[in-house]
Amino acid sequence: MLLVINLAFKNLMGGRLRTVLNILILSFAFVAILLYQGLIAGMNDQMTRAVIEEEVGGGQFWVNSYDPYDPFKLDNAYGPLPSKLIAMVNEGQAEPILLRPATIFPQGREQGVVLRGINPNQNILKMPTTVLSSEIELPLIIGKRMAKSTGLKVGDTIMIRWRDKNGAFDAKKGTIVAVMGTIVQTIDRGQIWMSLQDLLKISNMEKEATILVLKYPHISESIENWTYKSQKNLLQDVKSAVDAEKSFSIVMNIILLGLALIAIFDSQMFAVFRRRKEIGTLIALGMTRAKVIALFTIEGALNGVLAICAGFVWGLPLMRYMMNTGMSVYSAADDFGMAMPERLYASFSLQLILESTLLIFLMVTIVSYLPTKKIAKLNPTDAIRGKVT
Amino acid sequence: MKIFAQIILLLSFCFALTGPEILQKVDNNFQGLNQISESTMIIHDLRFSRSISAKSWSAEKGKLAFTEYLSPAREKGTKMLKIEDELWIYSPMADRIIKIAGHMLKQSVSGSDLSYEDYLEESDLVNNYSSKIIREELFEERECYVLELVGKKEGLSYPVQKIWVDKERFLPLKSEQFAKSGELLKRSVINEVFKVANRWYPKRMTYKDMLKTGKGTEFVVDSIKFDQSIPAHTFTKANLRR
Repeated sequence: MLLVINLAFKNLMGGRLRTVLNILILSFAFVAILLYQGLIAGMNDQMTRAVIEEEVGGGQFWVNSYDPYDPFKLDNAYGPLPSKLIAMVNEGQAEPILLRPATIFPQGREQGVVLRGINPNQNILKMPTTVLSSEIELPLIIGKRMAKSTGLKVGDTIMIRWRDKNGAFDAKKGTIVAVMGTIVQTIDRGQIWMSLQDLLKISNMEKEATILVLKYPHISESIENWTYKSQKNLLQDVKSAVDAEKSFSIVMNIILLGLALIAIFDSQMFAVFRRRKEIGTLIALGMTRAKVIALFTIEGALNGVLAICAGFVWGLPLMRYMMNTGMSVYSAADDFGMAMPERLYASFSLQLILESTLLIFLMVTIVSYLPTKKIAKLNPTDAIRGKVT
Repeated sequence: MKIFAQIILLLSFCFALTGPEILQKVDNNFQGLNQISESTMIIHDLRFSRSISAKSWSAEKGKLAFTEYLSPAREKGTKMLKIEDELWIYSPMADRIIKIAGHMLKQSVSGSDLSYEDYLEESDLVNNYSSKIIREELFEERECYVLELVGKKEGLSYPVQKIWVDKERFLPLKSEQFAKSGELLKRSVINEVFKVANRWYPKRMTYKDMLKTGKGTEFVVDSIKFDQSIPAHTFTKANLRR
């Protein structure tokens, strides 16, 4: 077998330019696949981390009447916290958030928003809520997308109109005290954050809430009128977005790998045709057909091995760059409603590298083997004379 | 002569109307067993104006209301049914019925300055507000009582209102709606009146949402009939798709 491998290597080296081109194109496909997968893994990591840190926490409780996909119900989506949940809030293990529909009038235009009341001293969500304890009347925080769409900036005042829990209209001017940069769109677009106490007061409420964000995911059961939503459940949107991206990556992989494999397949077909006299001689000298097939298959597979090595040589610096510096994301991706960061940093796990390497090697081996099946049917005397049946 | 003047003054006090009495007269102008009307709403945006004409049926002091848009062609066939605090809207383009309740009833109708409640509910000032006359003054050359209304119960859209009531016709020629904080939210002015079935009724009104820019919304009553025979099935959801 060692002889076959040795021979295959020598034959491959004899291919010179053809071999170099095959290895280059295959290594390009390998690195491209690895980078693409790494970017998807990185996007998943960034999005998941941001959503957990800024919105989901360790899981949530929702008052039963709350449905984030039904704005018609938001008006009645509030309720008092059960004693067990109040105890968690007092221990710093959970933070209540109250959601109320309202209308703002930036530049005189009417725009529906959701007011979100949160404790300024909370430390569960990574948000600059401490500024909400400002002495200014009705201090507000908005996200950068909301700031962009409304033309508001820190220090601006905005007229807000809302209804209290009994339905009476009320209106007051609030002051923007911070514009937070976040990639989580659900806490940004159409959302205005204010102190929970302020929101309870203007809504004519006392201790009601809509959502309770947990610090750690150590509870897994609904309590009274509050439904438990696990972190996994709440991250479903992120998972769906990443899964959709993965589906697209499969198509990309097929195209990239397909191009490289066509080159290998073509080389193998050409080799079997061009080297038929050599095949006939080898069989006439006593080499079994299986060994000749193995010789040609190993020759092809070695393309894969060398391409992987070459890929690591020139791809590693690029992978390192993508991990440390990242790449800026096409700005329109932000409008898809996903928690898309401004810069994507690739993430390469050992599993990802091994899977990609194995995939390349297996595919190249299979593609190298397929054309050699013809050798099994070759008549050695015809082959020596240059005839192929 | 002095005694005669005192008697006149005393009589004028005896026969002076109180706030609730004025409100009752205002409500009487607007209320009936039921009403069928055709109206046009002209919405003036910053750049252009558009109008929507509609036919409406209402009963039980506005608890039941049904409206069908007649024009423009894009909106024609859109129907709204209100029963108590719930509203269903049928869109012929989507062939779907959407239910609107709660705070959505306070949202504007087709981008106008009127909310669904403003558009579909009948005046019931006397039951909803306590009132006092704060002064008398001329408004558009008409003698008016100026009344301050304060909500009697929780849940009214506008907890405080101020209205200028025509002393002779008992129509609120001007009204201003305030938020709990005292912020002026809306202003409506009656520009033209007409007499129908022995009562005065607004022919043309202008509503203005004071928090947003724009020139307001004109509401023109093309025709109105009170105390008609309205079939019960008018106020049913089945009627939305008919």
